[in-house]
Amino acid sequence: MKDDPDFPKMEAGYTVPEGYFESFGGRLKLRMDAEPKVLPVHGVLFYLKPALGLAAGLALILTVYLHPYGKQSVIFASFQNGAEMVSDDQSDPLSSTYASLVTDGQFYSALNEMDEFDASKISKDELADYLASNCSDFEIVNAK
Amino acid sequence: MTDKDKDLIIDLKTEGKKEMAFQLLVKTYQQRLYWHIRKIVVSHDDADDLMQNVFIKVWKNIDNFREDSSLFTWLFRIATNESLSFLQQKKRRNIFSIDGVSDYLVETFESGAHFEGEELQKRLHLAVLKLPEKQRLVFNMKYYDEMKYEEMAEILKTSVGALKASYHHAVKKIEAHFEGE
Repeated sequence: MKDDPDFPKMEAGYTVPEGYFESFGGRLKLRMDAEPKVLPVHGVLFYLKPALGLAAGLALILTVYLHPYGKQSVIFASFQNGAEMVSDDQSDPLSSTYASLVTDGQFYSALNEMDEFDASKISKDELADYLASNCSDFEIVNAK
Repeated sequence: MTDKDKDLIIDLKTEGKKEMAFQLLVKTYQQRLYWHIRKIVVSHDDADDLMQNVFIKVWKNIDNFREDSSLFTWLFRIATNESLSFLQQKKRRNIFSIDGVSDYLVETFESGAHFEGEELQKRLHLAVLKLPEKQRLVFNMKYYDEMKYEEMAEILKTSVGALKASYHHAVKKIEAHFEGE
């Protein structure tokens, strides 16, 4: 097209304000100086890592504490305080079952029994009775 | 790549020489980059903003420049991408309709700021601005900037054959535009 004599090569005809290119470098420098200095990506992560770890740990603790099944731990905490075990959420079947089956006294007596337990005091007959009532024949025959 | 560009890149990656080398880079390439950007976005103010963005990107990314293309090609690729992204952003912001980039560019051109061409130059611009984006880009680079197809292929990351076809279609459309006037 540009070799076509009826369509000669033309300049674009655009112009710029006077002194534009002479002053461009200076204006560019001003803008670069005004730009906020950006930390390298690895630097930012480096500084954020401890905070991110702390936040993740906190989030995990809150999740466990606030999760519906996390109420079990709340129930056990109430044992230690000697408080009456009553579920905040009566519709929660798991916590209400605990509440109906276990009282403070039962819990503490069970703990005491565990402390006083001595396996050498169990007679052979007691052991046989225990196995007969709690284990199947198959388990007893195959027990090593 | 020319020896001058190679030295320039070494200096740009060397602390203590970086700022001086950058000033030299700006001085060497600012006019060619400006006219390239200006033909894409038409407005002088937009071209000025975009050229500053281009050089800031170059400054921030010079350490990542792998030198698998020439400095010229790398700069023109950044400038082209910045300019096309600018037009895409305008399109997304509904400043003009989906097919209206050409209308926007024609309107900007007709506002007449910083244009002192003759009537024939103006008619040619109006015909070029009505081309689809890729054809407009290829026509500008080939006709006005007299760039080689091989250079254009590197900058635009497309084949020489596709560029020749785009240029051919662009010329046919411009000729048809003139005949239809």
